[in-house]
Amino acid sequence: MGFAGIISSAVNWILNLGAATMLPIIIIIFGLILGQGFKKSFKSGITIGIGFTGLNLVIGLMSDSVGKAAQQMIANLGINLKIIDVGWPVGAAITWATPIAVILVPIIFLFNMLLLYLKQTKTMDVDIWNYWHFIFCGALIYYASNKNLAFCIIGTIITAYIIFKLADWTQPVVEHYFGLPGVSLPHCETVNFAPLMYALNKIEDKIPGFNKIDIDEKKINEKFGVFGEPMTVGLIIGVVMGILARYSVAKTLTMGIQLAAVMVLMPRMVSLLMEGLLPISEGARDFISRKFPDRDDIYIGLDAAIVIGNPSNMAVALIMVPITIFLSIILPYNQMLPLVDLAVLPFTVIWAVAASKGNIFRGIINSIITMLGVFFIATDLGALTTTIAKSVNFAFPEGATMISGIDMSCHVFLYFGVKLLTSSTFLFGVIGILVYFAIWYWVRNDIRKIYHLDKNYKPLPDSGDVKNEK
Amino acid sequence: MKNKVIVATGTSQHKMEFAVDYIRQYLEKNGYPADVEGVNVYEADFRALNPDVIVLIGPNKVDIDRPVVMGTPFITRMKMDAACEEIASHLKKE
Repeated sequence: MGFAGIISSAVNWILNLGAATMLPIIIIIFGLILGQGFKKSFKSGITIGIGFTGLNLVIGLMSDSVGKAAQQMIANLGINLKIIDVGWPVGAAITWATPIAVILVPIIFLFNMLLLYLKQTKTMDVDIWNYWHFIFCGALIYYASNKNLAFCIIGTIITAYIIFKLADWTQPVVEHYFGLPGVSLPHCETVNFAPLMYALNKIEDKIPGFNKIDIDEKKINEKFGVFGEPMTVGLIIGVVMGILARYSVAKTLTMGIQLAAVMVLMPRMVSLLMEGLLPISEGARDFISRKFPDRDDIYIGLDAAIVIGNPSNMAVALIMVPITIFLSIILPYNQMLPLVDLAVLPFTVIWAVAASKGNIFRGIINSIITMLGVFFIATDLGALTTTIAKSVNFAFPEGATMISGIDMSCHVFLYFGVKLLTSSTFLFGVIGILVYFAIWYWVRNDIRKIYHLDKNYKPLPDSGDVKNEK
Repeated sequence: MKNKVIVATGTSQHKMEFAVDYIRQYLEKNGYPADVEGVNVYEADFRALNPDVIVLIGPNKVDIDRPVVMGTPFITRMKMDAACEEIASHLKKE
């Protein structure tokens, strides 16, 4: 065996160890390459391993309780919801565990640097954790194209380019509506809805009487705020599932507590994974600061978590929890049972609400239309997301034949991209992409007009200081 | 007497806690006794809270005449110590 063969065997051996053992080794190596020192890199690597192990324990809890109850409930009700929404934490864990993650992280980072250098984007995406959305897009393409690495890399780069452009385009909203200057949101699964939501807003403006309707978000948040907490959502849905599965009272209550535990513990485990990625993020920030010391026109790209506290956003997300469950039952094409990602609705609805500048009524209508698409994508791509999960040996909830999630199904642009890979759906993919860009083109100046900005996104002389609207 | 720092954010709880902890540790380390408290920027009653300085991560809803420091560095995690220095400049030392 030659030197190249030894290296190849070593890489394959590491990749086959499983995420909980493989990623710590990779993170330690990345940390050392980025000059973060052995102690810090080692600690981060182990932390990420602990996060994965903890996440697997919670998935075990979900597999034991939720999967069984869901199966029983579906049999009793005669509904056809065979795809279990396992939530974004599992989506992220599966994605980070794919072999392409290691390849795509440096590619996305360097591509972003190249775009900044060429002044093709102003967004500097330092949110390495959320690269998982780009990698998820790459993983979908990778498995949909029979593991074609070139397609995977090209598809990821195109996705990243569009998302950075969307982040630049929506930055004035982050600055003037959410009050965060110098920050943009290249958050794949949220910002890709922005053109569609601005188009809906434009149509709604033209409907007589529609633009007069609003709902007081304060009352909603005051009276029902507790029902938006992940633990309460988990408890209620667990109990309802127990009742529908015709469990005993004791078993129903236990079911409620177990689902509440899943909703709370999963993100806690993920926070360990995020902590483990810190040396990479810090190394990336140091690198960027060194390379672009004089660029004051750069936006720092961050996770949409920085804006979800907006009260209109929280109110819409709260109302959307029961509506989403209802939609899942009545939509004839839907096969996904919404569960863990009901807690992610504050993210899903961000642009539905921001496009309407906090108008709750429009926010709800826009969010319902969003969810119609999300359920369609979840059902259509359910087999593919399940394939990815199986490839990394994900422990399936008992009785679940397929898995997906609301978050995983929010990649609209990518969905049409994946359709291009199969000859029978190629035309559908082309039309979808063309329609997406046509809509974006139609609303391209709307944000500028709403926030009274000139073509260079500077405040117009007669607009004064743009204040936050809500 | 202890200083009072209010970190007013429209972010997720996790990001608010990170900013609060970082500022608290910086002030402790540099000899500024302070209560550092995180609040929701949309709901906060700044008059009732009566802080010495407000760290703002979100829209400006501040309705009292107190120093306001932009808290964006605590979400970008860049130049956080410079922001902490600015916060400390408005506080009394031990």
